[in-house]
Amino acid sequence: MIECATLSCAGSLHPDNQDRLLADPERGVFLVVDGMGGLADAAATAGIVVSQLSAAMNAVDVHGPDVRQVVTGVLDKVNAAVRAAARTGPGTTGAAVAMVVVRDGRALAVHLGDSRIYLARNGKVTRLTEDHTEDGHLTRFLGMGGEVSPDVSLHDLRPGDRILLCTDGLTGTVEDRAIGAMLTRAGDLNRVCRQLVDAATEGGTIDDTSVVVVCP
Amino acid sequence: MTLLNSGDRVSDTLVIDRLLGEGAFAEVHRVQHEYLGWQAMKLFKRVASKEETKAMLGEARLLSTLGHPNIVRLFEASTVQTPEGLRGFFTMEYVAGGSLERLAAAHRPSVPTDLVAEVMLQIASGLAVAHDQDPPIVHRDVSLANVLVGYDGSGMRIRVSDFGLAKRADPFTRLASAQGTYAFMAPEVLRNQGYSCASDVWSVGTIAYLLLTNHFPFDDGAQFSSYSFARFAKPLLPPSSYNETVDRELDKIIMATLEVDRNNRPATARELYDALRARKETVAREPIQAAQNSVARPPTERAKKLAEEALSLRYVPGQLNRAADLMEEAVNLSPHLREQHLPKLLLWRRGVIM
Repeated sequence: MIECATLSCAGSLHPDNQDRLLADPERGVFLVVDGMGGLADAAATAGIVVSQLSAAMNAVDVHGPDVRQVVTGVLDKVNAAVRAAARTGPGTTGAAVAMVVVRDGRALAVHLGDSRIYLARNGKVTRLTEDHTEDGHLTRFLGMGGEVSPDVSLHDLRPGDRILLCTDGLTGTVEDRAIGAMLTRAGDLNRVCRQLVDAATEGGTIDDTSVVVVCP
Repeated sequence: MTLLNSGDRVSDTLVIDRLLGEGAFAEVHRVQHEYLGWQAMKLFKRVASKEETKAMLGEARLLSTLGHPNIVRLFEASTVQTPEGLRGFFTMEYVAGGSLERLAAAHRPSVPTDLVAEVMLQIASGLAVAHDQDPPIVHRDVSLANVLVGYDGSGMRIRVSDFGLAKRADPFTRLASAQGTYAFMAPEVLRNQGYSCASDVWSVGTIAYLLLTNHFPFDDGAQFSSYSFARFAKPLLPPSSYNETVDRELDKIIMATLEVDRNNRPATARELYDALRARKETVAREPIQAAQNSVARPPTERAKKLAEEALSLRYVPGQLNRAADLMEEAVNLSPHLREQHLPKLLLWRRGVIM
């Protein structure tokens, strides 16, 4: 069984947490979703993304030759659902997403927007994602018009690896180096999550912060 | 007969799922939103226009936009065609755990003291935000039925619903529906001397007293005694005289909320909240007492079924939230199931499938 821990904490921007996350160690599906938009919409959108994506990914063969296409197709459907569900019309709500599917010693990493994925190995940490942002705006996200093009990558895993998925509440205020140090520190995964979120709070984050740490 | 029934379509995105409850002036249904899952819908029996519906909701809408964790969030207000004509409705978040009525019934004769203190603290926290408004927003109808008990990733989360609705309900329907809620009303309200924040404080104290002791304060057991003002002349026994697990500090706080003269009560929920907060910090420093030996009744068939359905549904992709809702209902129906499954429910609410 894959080991994992999660923590999500509302920021000071709004009283309710607009991040949603999922950790399904049995199926190896892990994701963080950062909802955007007004009032209840952001959290609702993030919720839609979590339920639709986790349901759809179950059927995906991560080792198939056309995995990129299949994943893009899945995200296209979720994208359409987000747009259709927007109360105040398509384009008024959206979400950034980072997802890892761990199966048979490999990790499939997928993201759209500024939620990130890090891989810690032998005390070194690599970021597996490039933010889809330009001048502080998201260039790609779920709920956008047109076709979505997620970044999809495959990684062979080794014993002792740790994977972190997080929303920009963490990465907006904590440097990669500090994240790496906390992620590689020995100890209970729940404690690692707590340290990461505390670091974001101490760093003055005003945004919701969500982290999922996976020990595949 | 209700105005709407299971399967009726309310709008493009809303379909009636099942009836949750019915009062004199509204019926409450669980509705399925095409994208957002379950929501609760309150359908007014007499209100017939969109404008009137929105006017009913004035204060509740304002509070909802503040997004306080202990205040129920509203989604939309509109009208729907029913067999009896157009009727106003609004939708709000669905709290599967149900109201304090259910919690009280599951724990009867008494809800554990820690739990009651936490319930009281969270109600006060939600009301405090309303009382902090300028001018203050007074709830006017805080009762077991209007306080909902849910769970999020960090634990129990109480939500106060139906803010200010009582203000606009016409007196006749109030009378019809208020059998239950009169018991929670402050003496000055019963005497028609007007509402204030301190009247809400009284209602919160009444809830706590009832949950801890299974008695209404100032209830002398006589029939119709809730209509007689004479009962307020008799001294009130502290909750600890019925329930020895109630600590002195909580006794004191509750007795203060039930001062017959409103000037002697905490003036607002904010004051009450501060007192409860201070007590909580003191209690946290004290050595942990041995757990109360509760006489846990076996769960009912319905509660057991809900828990079992939740346990199997959690593995169905995309259904974790629904599983958590079912479990939330189950744990509030049975202290036994609560003990057994609460940690799991909190994990599910944090997105972890275990």
